[in-house]
Amino acid sequence: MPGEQPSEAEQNAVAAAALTMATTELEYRVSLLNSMVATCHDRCAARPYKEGALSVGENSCIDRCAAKYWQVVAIVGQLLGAQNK
Amino acid sequence: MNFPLDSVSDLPDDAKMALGAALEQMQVRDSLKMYNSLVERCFKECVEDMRSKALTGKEEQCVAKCCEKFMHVTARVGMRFQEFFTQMEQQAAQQAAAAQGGK
Repeated sequence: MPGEQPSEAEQNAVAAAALTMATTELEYRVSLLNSMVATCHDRCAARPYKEGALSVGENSCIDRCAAKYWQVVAIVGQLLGAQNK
Repeated sequence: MNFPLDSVSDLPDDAKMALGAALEQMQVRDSLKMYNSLVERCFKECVEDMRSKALTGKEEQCVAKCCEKFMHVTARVGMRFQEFFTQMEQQAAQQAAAAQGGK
């Protein structure tokens, strides 16, 4: 009936679902970050290792790699989203 | 597929605490995983010589540089990653505000 407050049980169920969703999204973000780091390290870190610090070239490479990776995330997201409809 | 986490602030307090605890656990698990994967990565990249039990000086130096390099890459990528997400959330907020204003 309109105007009635949802029961406590319903509120709890909604909160539990939101928590699970938030946790899942966090795990996704962490996983995405780890992939990005591993991929850009493989592409950009100059071998053989000369030193621990990043050179200017490596810095630029990483920035570009991360930007492109992010664009790929967006494109794939769009395509998968369109497919699901 | 990009779902912004703006729902977090709407969660009730006990759910927020549960999320905080889950996040902490995730961080611990993640740093252990990172430790393992970094060891594997630097071993594969630096250690070739199986003629002795001890690491050679060259191998030791390589491992040190490998770790440092990976840490720096992680930091930089992490920084850009934050920027991307912040940008995406700002855009989403703007779009939401525009949609609201149009009504």
